[in-house]
Amino acid sequence: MNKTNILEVEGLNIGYRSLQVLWDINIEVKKNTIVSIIGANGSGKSTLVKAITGIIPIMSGRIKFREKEISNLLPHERVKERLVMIPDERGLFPEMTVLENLQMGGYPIKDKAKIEEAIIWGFDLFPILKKRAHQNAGSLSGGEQQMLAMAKALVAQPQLLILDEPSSGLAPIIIDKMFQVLIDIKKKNITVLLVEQNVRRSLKISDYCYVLENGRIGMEGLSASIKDKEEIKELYLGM
Amino acid sequence: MALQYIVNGLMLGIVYSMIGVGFSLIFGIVRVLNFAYGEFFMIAAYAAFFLASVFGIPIWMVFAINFILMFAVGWVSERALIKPLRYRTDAHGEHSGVIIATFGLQVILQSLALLLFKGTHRGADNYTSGNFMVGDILISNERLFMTVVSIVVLLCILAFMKYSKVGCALRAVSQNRTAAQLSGINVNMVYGIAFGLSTALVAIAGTLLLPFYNVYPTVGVIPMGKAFSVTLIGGLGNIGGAILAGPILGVLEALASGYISTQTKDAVAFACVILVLIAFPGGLGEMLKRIRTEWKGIRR
Amino acid sequence: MINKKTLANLIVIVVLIGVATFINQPYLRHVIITACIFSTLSMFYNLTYGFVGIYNFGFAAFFGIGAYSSAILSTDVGIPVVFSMIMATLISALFGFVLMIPCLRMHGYTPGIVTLAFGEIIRILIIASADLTNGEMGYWGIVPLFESDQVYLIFAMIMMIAVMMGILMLMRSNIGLAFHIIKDDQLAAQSVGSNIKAYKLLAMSLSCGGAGLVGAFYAHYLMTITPAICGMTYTIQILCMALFGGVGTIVGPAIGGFSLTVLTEALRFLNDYRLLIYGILIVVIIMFFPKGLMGVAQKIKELLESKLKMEGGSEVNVNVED
Repeated sequence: MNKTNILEVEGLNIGYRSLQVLWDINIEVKKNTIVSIIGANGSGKSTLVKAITGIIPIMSGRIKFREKEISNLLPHERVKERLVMIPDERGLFPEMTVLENLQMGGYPIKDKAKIEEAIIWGFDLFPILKKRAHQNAGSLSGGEQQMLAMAKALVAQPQLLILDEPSSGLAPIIIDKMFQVLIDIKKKNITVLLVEQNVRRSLKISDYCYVLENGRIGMEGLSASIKDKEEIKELYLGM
Repeated sequence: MALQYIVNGLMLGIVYSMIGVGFSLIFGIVRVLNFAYGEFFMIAAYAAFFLASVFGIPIWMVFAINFILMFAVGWVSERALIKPLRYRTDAHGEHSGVIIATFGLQVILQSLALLLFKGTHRGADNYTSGNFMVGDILISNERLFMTVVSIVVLLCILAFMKYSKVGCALRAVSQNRTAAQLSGINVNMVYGIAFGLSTALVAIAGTLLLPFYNVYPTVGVIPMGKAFSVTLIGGLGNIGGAILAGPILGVLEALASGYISTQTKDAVAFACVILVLIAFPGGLGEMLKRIRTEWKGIRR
Repeated sequence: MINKKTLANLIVIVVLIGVATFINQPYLRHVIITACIFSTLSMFYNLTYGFVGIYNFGFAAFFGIGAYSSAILSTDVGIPVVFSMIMATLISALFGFVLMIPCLRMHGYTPGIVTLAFGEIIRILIIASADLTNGEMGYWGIVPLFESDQVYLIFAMIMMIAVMMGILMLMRSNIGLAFHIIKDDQLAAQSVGSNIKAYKLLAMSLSCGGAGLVGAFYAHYLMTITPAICGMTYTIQILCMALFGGVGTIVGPAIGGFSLTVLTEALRFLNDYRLLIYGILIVVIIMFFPKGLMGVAQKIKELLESKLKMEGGSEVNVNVED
């Protein structure tokens, strides 16, 4: 495995029962970068990251993380390796309070001081969460839930943070805030893998980009150069 | 007269709550109905009978042994039966295969008991003796013992669920299984613990109720009926609802038994369950949630 | 448009009937009649459990309702047997319909528990209404349907086949399509706007009514019934038969019912262990053969087909090289 990469996906084939949805996926994510995966609806973006985190099984192929092969690890074991994902439905516990959710984020962390620290950091990033600390997560607005999901994920001390469609259903102001936070955490040596519908924003914030088309990697490259390609313009319209 | 029935019903009802909480635990966390739940009660009752009456082991030890033993039984059942089937879900995302498996397990356990023990009822002496009066109401020490033990156990479970790390993990899995996985929770282990805990709870009930029901191979239908009724009234998977519903069921049964007949008390109880469900398809738990959200709305 | 496989199945069954009709030995006749009864019951059970995905754990109660209704109506009230049977069917269907109404609003497995509770209520009520039903002792002296046992046999077989064909046609129709959608993808069904509730009510009514019909036949055949027929033992057996043959197929439950009934009779010396074996069977089937006998047959067929294809392929290669 290349030492500059934090995640390598080789020849991944993924399917549900007997229906294959992803073919021969090869992805490299360099450390301390933001990599985005874009593609039309149904191209398999969510499925891919679900497989990387172990929530759905793979048919064949390998996944390597931090120089370790994780293809056979259970989801919670991958989290312990510091591979954390915020799923598209946010991954919160609706009947627990904001504070409890943040504490649950720290479940795999043994050092209580680190958990405290991370929760405080989360409150700094998103002051509104502090205000709602004792409210049930289920009663928060969409934007607040997404912020909580982000803060919760950060408590788990991720080395790679995967976000599955974070901007869906959110107001532009909140999306701005979220993406600003992503740039901030990049400075803290956290690598980000971003699956997004919003093509413009993804390309703007990311260093490298993979384009999924009908279950295969159609195109890849530096975001700056992908941005101007003709085929991408269609995806812009598609959103 | 009615007051006596009500008090008796309330006290027995707390034990029903415990039975219901155990059943709801499994449903809330593992999302399956455990049809073999009643048979676990039966096994625990037999164990209590042999430990206490035949081997003369002190009461508190019987409880402790049964708790640990049945926790292990529940854990093993989950590993053997539920785990292999867990990944097989039908289109509703439900584990229909698992339910059938527990159904089959129930048949197996009951048949084995029938073959081993035949039809004889085995009785045990009460754990305590004596009674006292509160006004016009007669309270036996045995019933009091039963109620107190159940309350203590229930409180311990509630504290465990709310404050311990494992308890939080259990609650997390019941609220959002995928999110729990992604938070680093070993869901497999949680399922095993939930099953073990549930079985241990029904084991305590089995031990407590041994003097009341005696023990025989088909005794399992009784707690099964209570489990169903309590969790339906309270709302499947709803712990708070189950705790509320237990005494309600107890009182209903006591009144029916006193005023109509002991034969029909089960039918009456079931009928009431169905009536509650017609009004609140989600059980009392749903009603509680509605009240809570209304209350919050008013406060804002 | 009947496909080859169904045609083959049907031919086999028709042949079996032909052979069976000539059976004169009373014991064998009784076994086959019982087998037909349970096959038909399994098929009706499958209608809700296998095809629509409704859990009915109190199914045997409807069998009992049909039996007792027809028995009482014909023997006590004096209604001609044919009419009492029809009425019994309608009564069972009505009970199923009414029970299903509150179940429609319930989530998940709750209807399963409710139907179980209902089954118990019915059984207890039958025992408790001893002046009408003779309670635990059972109801004797029921008016028979036919004079000759041979006619019972032929009727039972025709009933089984008629039900099979009826369900076949039902599942081929639009209604059957709706059933499939409801079972396989509730979300799709809801978005398409099918009146899910109506279809579920229909399925339940047909299933329970069918159980009632079979129950009525059973009553007039045996001429004695007890409240035990409403009990869990019977529901368990029927469930096991449906699973054994293959839930979700048309012929599966019938085969399961037939084979298990015959097996039970053949292995009579194991009667004490009967329920235990059923339990073990249920667990083994659900864990290793979820699609039952039909599933196993399917796999064998696929295995054979792929073997044939391989050989056929190499023949083609030879030709091309020529």
